[in-house]
Amino acid sequence: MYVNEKWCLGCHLCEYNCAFAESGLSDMVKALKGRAIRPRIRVEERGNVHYAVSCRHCGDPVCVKGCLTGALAVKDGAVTVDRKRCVGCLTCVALCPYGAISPSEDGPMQKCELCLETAAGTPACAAGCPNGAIVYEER
Amino acid sequence: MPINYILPEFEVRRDYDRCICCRVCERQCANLVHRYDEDAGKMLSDESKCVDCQRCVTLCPTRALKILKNENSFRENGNWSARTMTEIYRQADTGGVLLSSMGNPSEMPVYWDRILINASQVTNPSIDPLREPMETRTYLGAHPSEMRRDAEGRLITSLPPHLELDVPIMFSAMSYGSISYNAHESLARAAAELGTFYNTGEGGLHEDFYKYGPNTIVQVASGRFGVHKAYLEAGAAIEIKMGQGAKPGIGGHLPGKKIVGDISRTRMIPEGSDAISPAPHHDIYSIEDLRQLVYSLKAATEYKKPVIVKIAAVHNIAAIASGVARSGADIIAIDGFRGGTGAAPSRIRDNVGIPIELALAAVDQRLRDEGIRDRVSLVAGGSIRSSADAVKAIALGADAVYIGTAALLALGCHLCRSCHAGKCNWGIATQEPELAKRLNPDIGYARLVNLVTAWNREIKEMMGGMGINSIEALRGNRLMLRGVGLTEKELEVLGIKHAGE
Amino acid sequence: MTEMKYLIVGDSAAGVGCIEGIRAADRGGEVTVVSAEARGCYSRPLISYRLSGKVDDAGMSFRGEDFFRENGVTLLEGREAVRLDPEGRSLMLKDGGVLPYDRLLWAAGSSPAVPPIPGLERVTNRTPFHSWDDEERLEAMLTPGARVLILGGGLVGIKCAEALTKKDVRVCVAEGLPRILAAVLDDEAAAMAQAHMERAGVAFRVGDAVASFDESRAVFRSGAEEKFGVLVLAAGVRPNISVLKTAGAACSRGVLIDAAGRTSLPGVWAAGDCAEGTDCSTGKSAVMALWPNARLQGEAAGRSMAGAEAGFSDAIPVNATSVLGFPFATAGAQEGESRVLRGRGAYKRLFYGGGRLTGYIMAGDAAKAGIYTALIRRREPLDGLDLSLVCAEPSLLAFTAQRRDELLNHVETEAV
Repeated sequence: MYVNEKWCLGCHLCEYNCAFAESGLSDMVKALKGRAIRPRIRVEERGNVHYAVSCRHCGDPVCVKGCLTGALAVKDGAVTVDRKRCVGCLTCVALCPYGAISPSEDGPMQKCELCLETAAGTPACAAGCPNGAIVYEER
Repeated sequence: MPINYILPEFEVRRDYDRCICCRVCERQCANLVHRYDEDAGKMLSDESKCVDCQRCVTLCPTRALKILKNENSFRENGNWSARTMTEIYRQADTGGVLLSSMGNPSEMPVYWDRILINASQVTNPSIDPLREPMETRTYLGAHPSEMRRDAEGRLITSLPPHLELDVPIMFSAMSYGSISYNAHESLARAAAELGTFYNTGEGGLHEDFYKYGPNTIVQVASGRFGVHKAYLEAGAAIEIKMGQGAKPGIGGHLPGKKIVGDISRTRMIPEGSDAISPAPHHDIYSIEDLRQLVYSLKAATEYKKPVIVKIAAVHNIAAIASGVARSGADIIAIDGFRGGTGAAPSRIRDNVGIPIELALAAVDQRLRDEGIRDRVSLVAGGSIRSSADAVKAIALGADAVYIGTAALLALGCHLCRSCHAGKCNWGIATQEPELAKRLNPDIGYARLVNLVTAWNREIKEMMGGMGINSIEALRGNRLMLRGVGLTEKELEVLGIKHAGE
Repeated sequence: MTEMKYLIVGDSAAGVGCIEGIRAADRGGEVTVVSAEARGCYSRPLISYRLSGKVDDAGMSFRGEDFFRENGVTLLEGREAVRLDPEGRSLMLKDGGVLPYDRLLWAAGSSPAVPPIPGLERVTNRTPFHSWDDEERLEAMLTPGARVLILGGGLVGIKCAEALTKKDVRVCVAEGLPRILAAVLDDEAAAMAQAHMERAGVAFRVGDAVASFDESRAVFRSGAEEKFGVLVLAAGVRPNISVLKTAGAACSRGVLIDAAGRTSLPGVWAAGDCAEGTDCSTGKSAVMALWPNARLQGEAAGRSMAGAEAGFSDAIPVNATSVLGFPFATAGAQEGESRVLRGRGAYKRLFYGGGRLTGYIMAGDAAKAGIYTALIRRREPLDGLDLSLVCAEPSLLAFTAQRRDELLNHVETEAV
């Protein structure tokens, strides 16, 4: 997943599309109304600079190496979290150079998993970006 | 405190059951209409600032927003409309000239919608565009009036310079300054891919776009902004702008606060100074002067490029065109009164000029009558809204059409007509980098290519339906058109028969 | 050509990392792992989670059951190494077995230190809290309503206390130094953590060392007393290096290694809690007994042993955990100039020197701490960054757009 800061408008649609895709529900209003979202992609911004950061699915992931329980692993090219294994020790949070891992609402860590298991099928953030700022491709 | 007479024109209606407070509308409105209220825990909107650009409506992920006309109404009056009354209030407030953007929106007749196209049946079969060759290629430039042979009897094939178009549609002049760098990049790339041309308008050519030179028409307008030797050599053709359909008789205006950085450099004027193009070219006061400029430009570019003269459709358009055809110009571009603009005085935009349909027909007929039709190609612009309009224009006598507004719509414009404010929410008619960013040329140019490709296919369908297989055979073919609901005089000027005849 | 014989002593983080490092470079060589414990490769930090019931037996392993088999590794469990012959390249085991090797990794970890407090031997219900066996022993000692005294307010003691709050026991943590988590947090952050735990019902006696014990009572230097039914010894660990020391390896607190894990003995590498490398945030030699470090040191050693390019030259201590819902993360040095930021229930202290970020403490909020960790490890010069942005929040905003583009858009092969 690559981010073109040049085209990011800071609209935050990526965050809402991520949260919606992860909700497993088919209606966005039902999924997100009245909730504070915890998306797996986050927009960092200040003044006129905006860009979105999510897990880079590193080829040699330091989070996987540091994981105490083996909950973090590489599956189908994506770095994934086994929610049942994770004990919330935060070691990965302190290792990820992009700050891409954070606690989910109920405790275990969460991060972008390329929408491999969501209804979206393909990364919802990239599909929903109105200006081509997020690109999902092989390089 | 003085009374505010200017009431909000629009109402922002938000379906609170659908709104998820994602705040995308807030972040994307350049006019600061929406905001999130912490205490109320919901989104609020200040409709007085809304220009109905539809950005928030389009981006809202749950389709919770609608922009409606403010239902607040003045007492009904067939003579004094709410718009007219508000314009007076505005002038009483400011004492200023009313400014507008884009094309004339008034309820004047649209002749395209009263003209119908023929189709072949029985006697002259139609052509199947999927299975038989269909030529939409066209050439713009002077045609020789007779075949000539040399001493050995061989055909002399040298011709004056032409523009070769793969489709009979070009992007009309929109200056860098009135539209953004990204918009220009989208137009340039699309023109290159489509095998047609885009026009620099009177803002000069940015150095980054010289590489698209072979698909660029460089314009020389009355202010001569950005005109220098390399500029003239960069383009495939040079267009002298004598007038513009949206504001015949006056020049262009770009306010000083938009003349910054690249705009200033490309136009070759100091930053912050207003770019006001004078009404006439101050070195062209007669047709002979025009001829002199045409030939100066040709000489400066070694007679390698065709010269276009762009004129606005006004009352004596036929006579003017005849003069221009004799001035050495290769192509005449006629711009009708519905043409768009970045900014023009409202009264001029709405009351000056004539419809392109009538102007085109009149010019084509006059040049034929005088036996000089082949000296020039004709390009028609000023609200070509679809492939049907294009076909009708070609049948009325145009060799090709210019599209401006339609191209901007492809890039995202929603015709809110607020370009002069410089806060285009779609990144088109603005120089603010945060807003211009919204038009990603990778996306924009693809949409333009899609639009013109689609129109080209439709043109082929319509031509095939008529039993015609080339633009050449369609050009000026008035018999392919019939009018409906038009007066005798209108039919006469258009040179077409009434449906049923 | 005979296959390389790799021998690894220890099957925890460093040992497993070494296997992964070797196998990345050499799929053919023979790999044998010998371990004193017989529990497979389990994650030692998880014993507190097992105590609280959060993790079951299956969850203790950090690499599935098939890990050793899939990597072609022979695992010898329940066998302790007692002597090393570096010239003869062989390892002697307690039960008399002798294992020859070409390349050896010493990853024997550390053992709990027994503090020399008079009367300690009189305490019958006492146990360290270091291994899975220790955890089971402790569990067996607990009775409803029991009073547990934990000797040591470091990470081990605190995590044990956290787990015990889930049991029907009363917990008191005794720490002789002026603050708990002394090696990890500073005074203010430690105070915040302590206050948080006190609110959850944990009692503390800090800044007062135990002077003596009798069977069910600890007497402190100040004269105060604490009664207990169970005593947990969490008073520090000693690296298990006696075998290497005897064999002649250069040692300080731990066995000294270079960036590739080599000790001073030819053919012998070391990694993990028993090894002492260079902390690149301070430039000083240090034992960095932390899980991620052990794993990365082990991997570097493995690659080096297999003859591949290797070097773990950006080793810094990185600590992160959450105690009863109070998160904290620290990395790098905790010396030199620093800047403190407080707000929204969180405390943050950034250490810098030589134009770079050298360390940080984040308490109460550890979000995106990894960004700071990367700044330290990459030795990113601060003059290319916006310092006020760096301090305000860990984010990539502090970088220039160009550097950010490099970080976000080039194809990732190495994480750091």
